[in-house]
This record gives sequence, C-alpha cells and structure tokens, in this order.
Amino acid sequence: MASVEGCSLALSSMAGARSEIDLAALVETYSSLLFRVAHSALRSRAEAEDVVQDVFVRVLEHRRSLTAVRDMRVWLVRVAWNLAIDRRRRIRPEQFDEGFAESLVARNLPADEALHEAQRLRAVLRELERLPRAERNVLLLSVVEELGTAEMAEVLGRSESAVRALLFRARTRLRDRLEEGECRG
Amino acid sequence: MKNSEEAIEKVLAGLRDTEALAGMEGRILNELEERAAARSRSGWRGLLPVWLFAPARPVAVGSVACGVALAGIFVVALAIPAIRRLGPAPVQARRSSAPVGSPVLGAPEAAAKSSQPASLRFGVRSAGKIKSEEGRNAESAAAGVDSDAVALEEMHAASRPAPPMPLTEQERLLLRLVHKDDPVELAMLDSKMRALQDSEDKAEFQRFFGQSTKQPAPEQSSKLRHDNRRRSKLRRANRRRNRQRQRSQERKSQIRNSQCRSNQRSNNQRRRRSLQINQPRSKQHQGQ
Repeated sequence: MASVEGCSLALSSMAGARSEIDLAALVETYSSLLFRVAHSALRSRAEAEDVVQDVFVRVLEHRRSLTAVRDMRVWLVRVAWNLAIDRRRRIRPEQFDEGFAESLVARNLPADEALHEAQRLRAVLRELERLPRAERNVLLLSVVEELGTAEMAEVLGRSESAVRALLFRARTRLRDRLEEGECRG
Repeated sequence: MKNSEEAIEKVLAGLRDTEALAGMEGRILNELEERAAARSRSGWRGLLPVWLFAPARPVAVGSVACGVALAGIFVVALAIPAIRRLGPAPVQARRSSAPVGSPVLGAPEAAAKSSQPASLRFGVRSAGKIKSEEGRNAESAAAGVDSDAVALEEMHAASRPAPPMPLTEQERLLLRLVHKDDPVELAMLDSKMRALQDSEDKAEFQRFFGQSTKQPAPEQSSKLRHDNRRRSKLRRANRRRNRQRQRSQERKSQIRNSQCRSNQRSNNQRRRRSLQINQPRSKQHQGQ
C-alpha cells in the first residue's frame, strides 16, 4: 500500500512538470483502487471495470487540463465514485446481491449452513441499501482501505468530522436494524 | 449482537477484498489506445459535437441518421407534386392571352414567357409557393388583357373637336380681372367726353362742398361751437400752466443769483479783512 501511495505522489509531482500525463502509468497505478471504489458502490465486477475504463477515458479526453489537478489520486477516486453513483441509478445493485453473498460464503461449510450464511449476508446488504444515502455512501467508501478520512471527506464534499459522525451512525444503525431483524426472525 | 457485527464485517471485507478480473489493466489500455488512434485518424471529428462520437451514445447517432433520412423523404415527397404542377402553367398563360386577339405582344404574355423559364431555372419549389405564384400570374394576366383592350379602342377611335367646356366661378372671375377694352375706358380716350365728365365731377363737388360751407346744419354748428369752446378752454389752461412754470423758473434763478451774490460778498469781505490784517503787519516789518 505504501508503495502505491509513493508512486502516486511521484506521479502527481511529475504531472506538474510534464505537459501531458503518462496514461499507462496512471492505469497501472490506480486501476485497482478505482475498481474497489466502484465495486463497493456497484457490487458487480463487470460494472466496476466499466467504470474504471470510463474514468480513464475521461482522463484521455481532459489530459491537457489535468496538469491543473492538485491531487490526482483524490481526483480519480472522485470521478470513479461519481460515475459509479450515476451507474447505480441505471442498474440496481440489489440484483447482484445474491451472487455476491454466495461468493462470500465459505465453500467448506455444509449446504444448510452456507444457505443460512448467505441469507444473513443478503440481509446485511439489504439493510445497507436501506440506510440514509449519506450514511450509506460513507460506509461504502470506508470499505476502501487506502482512503483516509480526509480523502473521503474531499471525495464526498463534506468535513472530516461529518464523515466520522456519518460513519459511526451508519454502523450503529445498520447493526441495530440487523438485530431487530434477527429478533423478529 | 455479535452475529450482526460479524456479518457486517464480513460483507465489508468481501467488498474490500474483491479483486478485479485478470487483465483489466490491459483491456483498459487497449481500449484507450484504440480511442486515441481513432481520434488522431479523424481530426475532422473535432469540429463536430462530442456527443455524436461518445461510445455510450449510439442511440443518439442512430436517431440523427433516422431524422436525416426522414427529412430527405419529406423533401422528395414535396418536390414531386411541385414538379408536376410546373407543367400546365404555360398553357394557362396562353389561354389567358388568347381572347385579346391583338397582334401586339401583351405585357402579361411576355411576363408569363419570362417567368416560365425562371421558375424552371430555380428547380424544385414548394407546392404552396407555386400555387400562389400561379394565382398571381392569372390575376395579372386578366388585368393586363382589360387594359390592352381599352387602350386599343382609344387608339382606333375617330378624332373629334373638343366639346365646349363650362367655365367655373373662379375662371369667370379671372376673366373679369384680365379682361380689358372696357367701354368706359374707351370712352375716356375721347377729349370731349373726358371734358364733359370732368365738368360734371366738378359741379358735383361744388354742389356738395359749397352747400356744406354756406349753410351748415343746425346740429353740426352747435357741435362745432361746443368743440371750439372746449379747445379754447384747453388752450387757455395750457397757457396758464406755461406761465406758472416760467414764473417758478424765474424765481428759482433769482434765488440762485442772490445766493451767488451773497457768497461773493462774503468772500470779498473776507478778503478785505485779511488784507486789513496783513497791512499793519507789513508796515511793522517795514518799520523794523
């Protein structure tokens, strides 16, 4: 992780010196990060890959004006996040929840337990979708480990304290709702 | 509580640890290279709007193409009846010019002849426009035929003297003003007649003014007397005022003269006194 960050810093400093940005280096450096950002919002690998590709197409289109970008990493994450949120309106991530939950279940478990585990994970994902939008966005973006609170705040356009508060509320609300659901069940 | 927390962590870890499909970077780079090459190949596309060439907008491009095709079909559908209508136009013009029967070429005919190739020159037009032009041509042709017939009739008509024109009131007055050789003026040229006229005028003058001077009317004489009295009174009053003014001026001048004299006297007295005072002193000095 530290190597990735160091590379990104080097690239961002080089971008100021060069008139045009090395696109291949950008793809190699940031594609995995952008994929995770997009996947956290979409829960689909194919859709997340499309989002990453769209991000770099944007970079290609605006490569001449990218020298004015202060922090390339945060800028790319913000573009990827906004594209993923746009795509969420067209495709509903709930349709991918079943496959995603099954992929998370351990394969060595018996069938009945695996089914139960998959149901639990689907419930978590369902309750995640029912969270208020700001809280859900903070929680999904916090999944990406490379992003600190300050970067999350910059991507979401909020203050750091607000991000922390939203994250705490999101986790609390999600846990409470899941417990309520278990009690009913 | 523990179960839910574990489930949340598991879901978040699953989201966090998801890896991209193998070869994602290569696919993205290939796609970007293709796009860059396509851009460099078609430089003219930079002049057109970007949304036409965006990869996510094939529907827009298709709709534009469909729109262009529909517009072409619409233009062709309008053009066919317009071309058909252009055919009978000269026939109508010939029919309209036929009843005149004059050997001279009429203006509408010439206009029709000149307008016919012009319409063909412009090629395809809209049906409504052609219809309105045909209507205008027919109207102008009918009007031209009527005016030509009247002009020909007038040209072939026999020439006659102008009928006597009745004079208006203004013309009569003008004639009176301008008219000379009056019988009275002609008669004045004769010296005998003129002398007789003069004598008559003199006698009449004498008759009128002589009577007024010799025998004034009683009313007129009283008025005249009254007027004369008033005038004489006014004159007297004026004279009195003038006299009074003269007297007052004379008094003023006398006063001034007397003042001047008294001043002179006083001055003389002062001089004398001064002289009287100075004389003994001078005598004393001479004595010393």
